[in-house]
Amino acid sequence: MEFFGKTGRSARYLVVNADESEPGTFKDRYLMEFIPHLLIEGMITASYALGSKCSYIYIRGEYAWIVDILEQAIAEAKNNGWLGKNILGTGYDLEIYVQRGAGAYICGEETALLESLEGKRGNPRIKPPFPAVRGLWDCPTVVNNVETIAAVVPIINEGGEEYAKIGVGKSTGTKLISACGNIKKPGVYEIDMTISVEEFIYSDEYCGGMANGRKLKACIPGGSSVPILPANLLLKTAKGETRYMNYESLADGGFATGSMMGSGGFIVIDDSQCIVRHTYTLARFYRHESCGQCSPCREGTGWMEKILWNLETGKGKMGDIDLLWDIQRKIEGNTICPLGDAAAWPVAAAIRHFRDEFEWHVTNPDDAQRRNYGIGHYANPIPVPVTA
Amino acid sequence: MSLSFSDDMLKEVQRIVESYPQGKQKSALIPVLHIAQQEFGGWLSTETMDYVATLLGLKPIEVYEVATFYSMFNLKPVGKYMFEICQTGPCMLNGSDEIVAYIYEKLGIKPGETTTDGMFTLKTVECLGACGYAPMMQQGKHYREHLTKEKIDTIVDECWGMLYKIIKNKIFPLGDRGYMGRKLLLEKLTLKASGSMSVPP
Ligand SMILES: Cc1cc2nc3c(=O)[nH]c(=O)nc-3n(C[C@H](O)[C@H](O)[C@H](O)COP(=O)(O)O)c2cc1C
Ligand code: SF4
Ligand code: FES
Repeated sequence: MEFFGKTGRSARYLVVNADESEPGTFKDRYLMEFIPHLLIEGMITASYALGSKCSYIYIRGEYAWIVDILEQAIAEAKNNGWLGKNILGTGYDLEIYVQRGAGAYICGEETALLESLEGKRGNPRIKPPFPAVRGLWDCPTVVNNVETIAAVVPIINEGGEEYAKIGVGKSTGTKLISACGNIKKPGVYEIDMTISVEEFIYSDEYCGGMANGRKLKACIPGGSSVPILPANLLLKTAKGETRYMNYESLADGGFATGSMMGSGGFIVIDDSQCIVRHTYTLARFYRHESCGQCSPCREGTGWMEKILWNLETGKGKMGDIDLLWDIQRKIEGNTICPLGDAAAWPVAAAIRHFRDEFEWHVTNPDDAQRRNYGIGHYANPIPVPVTA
Repeated sequence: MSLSFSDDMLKEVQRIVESYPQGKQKSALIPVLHIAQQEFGGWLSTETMDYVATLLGLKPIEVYEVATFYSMFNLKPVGKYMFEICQTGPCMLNGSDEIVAYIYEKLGIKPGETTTDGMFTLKTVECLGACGYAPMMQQGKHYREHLTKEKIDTIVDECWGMLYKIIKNKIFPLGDRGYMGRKLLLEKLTLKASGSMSVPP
């Protein structure tokens, strides 16, 4: 890896990002809770390739019981001589440690994670320098997600070419999708990225359809930070083609009519739910999780939360919707780390696709307290508003 | 310094410090704060934080700034059992608001409040990475998932049961002592309005 610091003498580190806090995402938890040895094996292989003698798993603080599971898997590897001093007589030494966070979404951002691992507040660093050049304790460091490191094992065992035969186009290999929301069978599914979104939601092999006989209204296909899509744009692209569960297809149409695969957190929303309230909970999440270093993010997330709360509780004005649009645009791209963008996108997409529901909250404040807007015409294509 | 860890805990701290290179023991701060919070009543007082600072050779401010950043550290006293209900989008879609309302109905506490007997604290938190098993909460080290009103009833009873056991073992290390013993126990359990139970952890 050319990018990786060429310091020769200094230590190098592999850090596995197990902070998993993006709303809708719970796939790493599944891997660590039920197949921890896969992660440990992947880490040993990756650490050997990087020349790291000491690797860390940074796990979110709330997953306290999973720490015990991982430590037991590490102990087992040690007892078998696959970890520790002189692994399998190769002369290679490696230690793996588990570090617990303490409740901060931002520590999933790689530089904030390193700050936290150094025992500090989780404030993201300005990049460059990138962690691969100056990371943990100023040494070259690679930060990768749990799923990424676990995928090292089949790639090494089968060979890259063989592994890449799974999937389609650039979306090779398998992907873990954590499905939640108003579906019959929430859970973690491993897919090969050739199935359509419709099949994923409705087939019995996956989500099993909508819960309680409800209708599909909207979906956030890749964790709370990616744009929400109304049912019509979720199942078919703007061009009318079937949308598939893969990187390219989910992103088809850009932010105007598409979304992203993101973290694989698949949040399904039915017709009894309120988009304004859902967007409000996400805005509150990002306000709560902003580290506060950059003014647009710190102040903007707070403003978005307040305005959305007013709209939700029937105290909003028509101008608030444009104000929200304006605020999110001023956050996006103007911050140290991508949390600012992550906070702006869900609000932008909700207004872009569900503007009439926001307006209904303003024009019918009393109604909005008693009932939800319903499915509206989201099953039919709706025009993109002027502001988009 | 009146506070101090037991020998076992000091060994645990030593083990944690050894997982970092020499001189980088500041990295042990968050894990050690977790231990301190657990050992000293479920929250971090200034005294506790100062003790951790001395233990790791840090300035007290280095500890305060970290303790105030992370949401798992409680800077005020909390009840003996804490219900941390997730209220973010996916959990909201599955009725977390109703669970919060039910706890208010049952125990009379709103988010951030503690029952007057010091038994329960309700806290609302953001996504805990269990969205598929919503609505859910963290209670101590574990998650309680697929919550319903009935399940909340069971959990509350379980907590009383755990406390009952703890007190019983403290007062009657040799076993139950009949009617008078149970009466004493009941008096202890109904210690109201004291703000915090005078029950050892
Ligand atoms: C606000 C924010 C939160 C993040 N949270 C996580 C997380 O919880 N888990 C994770 O693996 N990556 C998270 N990331 C991405 C990491 O910064 C980094 O890109 C990732 O660990 C790289 O791993 P990968 O290349 O294996 O995916 C987050 C990024 C941002 C900006
Ligand atoms: S964008 Fe937000 S979270 Fe990221 S560094 Fe700036 S203030 Fe912190
Ligand atoms: S939203 Fe509640 S656990 Fe994720």
